[in-house]
Amino acid sequence: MSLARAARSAFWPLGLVVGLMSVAVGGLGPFDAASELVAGWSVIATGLLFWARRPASQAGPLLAAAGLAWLLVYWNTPAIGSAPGFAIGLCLYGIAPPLLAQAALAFPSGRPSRVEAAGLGLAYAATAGVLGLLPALVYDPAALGCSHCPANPLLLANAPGLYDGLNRAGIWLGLVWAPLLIGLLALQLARCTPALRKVKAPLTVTAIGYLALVTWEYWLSLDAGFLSVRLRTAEAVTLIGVAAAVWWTWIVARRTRGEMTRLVVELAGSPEPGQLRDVMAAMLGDPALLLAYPLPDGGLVDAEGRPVTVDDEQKTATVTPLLRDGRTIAVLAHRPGLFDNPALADELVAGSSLALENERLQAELNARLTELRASRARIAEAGDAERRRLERDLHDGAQQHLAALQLSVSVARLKSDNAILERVEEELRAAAEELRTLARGVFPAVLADEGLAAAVESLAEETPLRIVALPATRLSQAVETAAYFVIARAVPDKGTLTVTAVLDDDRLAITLEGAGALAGARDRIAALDGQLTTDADGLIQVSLPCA
Amino acid sequence: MRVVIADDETLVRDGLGLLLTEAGFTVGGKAANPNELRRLVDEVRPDVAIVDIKMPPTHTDEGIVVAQQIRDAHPGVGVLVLSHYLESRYALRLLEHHPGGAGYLLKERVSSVAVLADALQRVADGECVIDPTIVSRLIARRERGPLQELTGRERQVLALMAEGRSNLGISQRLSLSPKTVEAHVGSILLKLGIDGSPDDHRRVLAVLAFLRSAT
Repeated sequence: MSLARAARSAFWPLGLVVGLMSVAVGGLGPFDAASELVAGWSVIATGLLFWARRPASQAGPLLAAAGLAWLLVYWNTPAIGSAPGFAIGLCLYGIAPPLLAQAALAFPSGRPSRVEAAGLGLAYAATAGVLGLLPALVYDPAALGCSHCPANPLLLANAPGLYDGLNRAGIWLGLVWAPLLIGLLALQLARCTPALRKVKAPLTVTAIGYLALVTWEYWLSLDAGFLSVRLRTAEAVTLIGVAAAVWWTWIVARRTRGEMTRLVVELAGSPEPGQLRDVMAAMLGDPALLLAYPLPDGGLVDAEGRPVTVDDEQKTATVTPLLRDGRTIAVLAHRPGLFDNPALADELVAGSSLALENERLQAELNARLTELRASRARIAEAGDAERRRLERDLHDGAQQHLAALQLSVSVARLKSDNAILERVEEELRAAAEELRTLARGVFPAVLADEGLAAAVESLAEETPLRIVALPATRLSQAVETAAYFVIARAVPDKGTLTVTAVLDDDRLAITLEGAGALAGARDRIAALDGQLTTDADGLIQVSLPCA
Repeated sequence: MRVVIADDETLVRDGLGLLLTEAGFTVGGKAANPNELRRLVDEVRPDVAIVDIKMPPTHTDEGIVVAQQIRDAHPGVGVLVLSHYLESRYALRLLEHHPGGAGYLLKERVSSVAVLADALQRVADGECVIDPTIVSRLIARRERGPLQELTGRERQVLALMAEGRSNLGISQRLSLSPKTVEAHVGSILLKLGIDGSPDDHRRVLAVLAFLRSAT
C-alpha cells in the first residue's frame, strides 16, 4: 500500500521532468509544446487520481504510465543528451498506445481476457521490441556521423541495414496491432451490460479515436521507414479527451450521489415506508428494483416489515448487498449489470446511509410487531381449538359413557325396579345435564355448526339477553368465536344484556349495554386487531376486522 | 313396532337395542354411520329410525342431515334424533322440511323407557316431537313478554303444542275434552297473533318460531 503511494508520489515530479525534457529536446513551438504537455500531464494526473481512488484497479497505474510514455516520444532523439535517457527513449518511445489501450480495457475494473492479453502482448512486442530494443541494439549514431550524440549504451554492433529492416517491420506490425486493439475495445464495449457500457463508453470511444490516429500515423510512416509524428496534435486532443472521459464518469457518479442526497434530505422528515425504494428505483432507472432489509434472524423484509424473498422473485434479478462498515444494511434486487460499476453501490450507500439505516430499523420493528401480532392471534386460535377439542372429548367420551350407563340402568329397572335403581337413574340424569351444560360452556357446538347468530340466539334462551341485531352471514371462525365469548362473558349476574351486532363494511361492530365484568375480553379482541372501548355510561363498543 | 338404531358408539347402540327389545320393540338393525343407516332403512323399512346427532365423518350434525334424507326418501319412515345439544336451532332444522314424523329428543331421555316409547309411538304416528326441556326453556324466556296474556292453563296447552302434540294428545295429557282444548288453542293463537294453520305440524313450527324470535 505504502509502496503504491510512494510510486504515485514519485510519478508527479517524474511526469513533470519527462514532459519538460520532451518538449525541450523535440524543439517544439509554443503551441505544439503546450498540446504535448497538456495531453501527457492530464492523462498522468487522471491516472494517478484514479489509482488513488481505486487502488485495486489496474486502470489507474496504466493510465499514468500511458501519459508518461506519451511524453517519452522525443527521447529517442540524440538531443536528449544523456546516455541512459537516450536508451530509455530508444526502447519506449512508441509504447504509449498499447498502455492506453490496456488502461481502457481495464477500466473501471477487471483484467484482460486471454484474447485481449494476446493482442496487448503483440502490441508491446512490436513497440518495445521490434521498434524499440531490437533496433537499438544495432543503432550507432556516431557511425552515422552524429558526433554530438550521446553514446548508445545498448549498442552491440552497428548494422544500419538490420536497423532499417526492423523499423520497417515494426511499422508494418503497427498496422496489425493498432486496428486489432481497436477491434478488441469495440468488442468489449459491445459485449458488456448496459450499465457498464454507460460507464465505459466515453473512455473506450476516445481511446479508439486515439488508436485510430495511431494507425493512421503508422500508415503515413510506411514510406519514411521510421515512426513519424505528423498527427501528434490530433493525438494530443484525443488524449485530453481520454482524461476528460474519466473525469466525466466521476462527475456522473457525483451527480448521482448529489441527487440521492438531495432526495434523501427531502425524505428525511418522515419518509413513508417504501419511498426510499421509489427514489432509488427512479435514480437507478430500474422500476422493478427491490429494496429489502436483513433481519437478525437471517430473513429479509421490505420497508413495511413484510417478509420478502429476493432469490425466487425473478431469476432475471441480481442481488447486491449494500454495505456499511462491512455490515449488510440492505439488499437490492435489481436488473443484472446495474452495479457493474462498483462505485455506484458505494455512492448509493454514502448518499443514503442515514435514510437506509432509519428505514431498516423501522422495517425490523414492523416485522417484529407483525410477528408478535400473528403469534398472539395464533395463541388465541390455539385456545379456541383446544376448547373445541375439549367439548368434543366430553361428548365422545364422558357423555356417551353416561348415556350407555343410563341405558343399562333403564334395562335393569325394566327387569326389577327398586328405589335404589330409581335413585341411580335420577343421579345419572342430573350428571348428564350438568355435563351438557359444562360442554356447552366450554364451546357451543352450534357456534361452529351454525354461526354467531345461532349461538347468541341459543345463549339468549338460557340467559337474560336481549338481541337487537345479529349478522346474518357467517364470519371467520376466529371472529365468531371471539365475538361469542365476549358476549357470553358480558352477561351480567343481574339485569339484562342488550346486544347489537352489525356488519359495517369489513368490520363487525358489537354494542353491549348493561354488561357485567369483561375479564380477558380486551386481550381477546386485540389479538384479532380489534378494539374494545368502554364509555362513561358503561356502554361497550367492540370492533373486529373480519376481512 | 320396528325400529333401527344409528349411533357410532357401540355401548350406546347395544344398550339402546337391549332396552328397546326389553320394552317390546323390534330392533330391525343397527348402524354406526349415516351410510350404513341409509342402507339399513332401504332394506328394513322400519317404522322409526333412531339417529344420534353426532356421527362420522365430522361428528357435528350428520344426524340431522341424514334424518332429512331419510324423510325425503321414505315418507313412511319416522326419524327420532337423539342429541346431546339443548339447542332449539337443531330441532327447528330437523322439522323445517318435514315437520311430521320427526322428533328431537335429548339423549338423556333414554333413562326413561316411558318417555322414549311415547316419543317413538308419536313419531311413528306421523306426529312431531320436541323435547320438553327445549320447549320449557323457550317458554320461560318469553314469560315476562307476550306470554303474560295467557292463562296458566293456556300456557300448559302452548307447551304441549310446542312439543308437537296434537289436540287429541293434549286433551289426553291434560284430561280435558277435545272441544275444550280446541277452544284453548284458538284463544292462544289469537292472543299471540299466530296464524292458526289447520295442519298440526305447521302449527308446531309456527309456535316454535314465535317462541324463538327474540326481540
